[in-house]
Amino acid sequence: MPRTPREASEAVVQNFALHAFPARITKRALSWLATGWLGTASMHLFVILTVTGLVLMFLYVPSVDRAYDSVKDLQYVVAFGSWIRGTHRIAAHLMVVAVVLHLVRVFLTGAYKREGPPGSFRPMNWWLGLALLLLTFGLSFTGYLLPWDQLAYWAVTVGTQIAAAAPLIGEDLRGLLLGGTTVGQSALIRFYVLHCFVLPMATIFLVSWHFWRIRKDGGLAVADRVGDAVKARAKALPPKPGKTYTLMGSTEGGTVQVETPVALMEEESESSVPHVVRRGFVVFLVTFALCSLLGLLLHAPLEEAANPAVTPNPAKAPWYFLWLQELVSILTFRIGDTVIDGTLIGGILLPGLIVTVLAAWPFLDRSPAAAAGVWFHRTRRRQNVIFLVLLLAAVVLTIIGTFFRGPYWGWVWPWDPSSPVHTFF
Amino acid sequence: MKDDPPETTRRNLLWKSVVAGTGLGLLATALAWARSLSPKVLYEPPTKRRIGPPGRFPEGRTFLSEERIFVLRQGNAYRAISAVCTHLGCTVGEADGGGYHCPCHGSFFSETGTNEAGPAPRPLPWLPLTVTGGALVVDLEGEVGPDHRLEVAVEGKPQ
Repeated sequence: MPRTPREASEAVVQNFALHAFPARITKRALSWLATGWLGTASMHLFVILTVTGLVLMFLYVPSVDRAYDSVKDLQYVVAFGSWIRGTHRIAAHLMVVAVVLHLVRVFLTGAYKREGPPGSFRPMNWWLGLALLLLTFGLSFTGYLLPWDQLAYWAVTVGTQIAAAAPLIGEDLRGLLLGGTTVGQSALIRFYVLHCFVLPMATIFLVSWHFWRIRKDGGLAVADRVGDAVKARAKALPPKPGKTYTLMGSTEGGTVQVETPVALMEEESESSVPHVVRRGFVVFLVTFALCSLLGLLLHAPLEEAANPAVTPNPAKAPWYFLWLQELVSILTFRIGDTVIDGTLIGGILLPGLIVTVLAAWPFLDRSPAAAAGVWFHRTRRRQNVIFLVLLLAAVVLTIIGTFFRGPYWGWVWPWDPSSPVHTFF
Repeated sequence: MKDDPPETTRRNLLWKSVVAGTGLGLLATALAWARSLSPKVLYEPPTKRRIGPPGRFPEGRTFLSEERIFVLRQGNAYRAISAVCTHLGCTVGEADGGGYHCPCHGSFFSETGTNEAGPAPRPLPWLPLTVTGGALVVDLEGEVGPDHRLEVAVEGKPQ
């Protein structure tokens, strides 16, 4: 037995490797279909991005005079440079996809619900996840400027003008991002530092917290019902004094590890080593193979060097913001001589509202505890349908913005020669 | 102890002052350091630019890519209009049959700069032109009415 709290915490720290996972894990949580392992895939994508990004950092020069040429060198001169850059770009796009799908899975299974095991508070992890989603967008968007080509320059010009539309703080926010009034050297170095240091560090911190919360919340919500079933059959063991949960003093009020002795349910669980580790590694290999192959096959675009005088026509935001750009364009209309500016609504208020409503959702969702961790639970049918319809709308708007918008943001059919579809395939 | 110590003892007050002082010090330091992020000097191109002698501009519209403006000449009368879209800052282009078209979200401005279609919230501003040392000077930050014209007697024919 530990004699002091210090000894108790040291026991935990020294056993970190063993404490990343619980000793045993339910088969339900291991299942491919229960979660899709999307959170794990997101983390692996972040690892791939860190490693490829580190290589790119040795070759990239964050200066207005050198940035474009150094990326061009990377693309055409450095041995396998275009492969590494292509992998980094594809992993970035896939990370946006994986993180969004992860959020979709958590929503559709009601895994954010407050009614978890005793002592758990799953909304916390839902909020951390939302913050990580925003960080993912931030990482992707700051990386967009670095090649300093036309695509980069104009996407950031438009993006920071949208930030300036925010009420009260808008102009200051834009000034802080750009370090001036135009997209120039100060903006480039700021985006570089944000992209390579500030945002990755914040991501590492929040990801660690996110993972730790899973244990703190008694495992994945998809496995909650297994625990219930076992609890009905078996009598809970009293907390063991030598176990971590006792050392950490986390048993007050109880946790699922204490109240539902997973060790008792041999037939419902597997030991974490090797089962979780093995599956995690499989997810990593699949993710890495996908990024590496796509990075080899799809060439990362590099347009002409940034030219403030010439705006490409059309000038588009990164694809994951195109639904917002489409909304900015749709929501702008005129009544007589007054123009209703969609920038504030589509660019600031609507995204702000979406994040706020999502953050508050665990407290607006009135479904019973039985709906936590179940795909499409019947008591959550209406909210799932609304969620999916809104998601579908965003996807449709993204597709329209990507493939059906040509010069002057006008409508273009895919079979039209000027359609952007032809530059994609 | 028979009676409780009073709420504020000397030690208590000193401790609170230490906490408050340290907190204020750290806050002031953080604010001062954060202030370094907003530059005091901008090494950006000047907003008042010489754009060359009046004679270099042909009759009609001329686009100056460095300044992102159009210079319009009608005989001896000169006008300058900004080519920066008032929506999100893209560079507008000349539309067929007069007016200006923005490539980003399709805003359309009439020949007078009025925002006629699309998301642009304001007209394109007309910019003040002056003559200094034989060259036209445009003030990119200034704004004049659409009827403002600079009359310059130019030697010789327009090119």
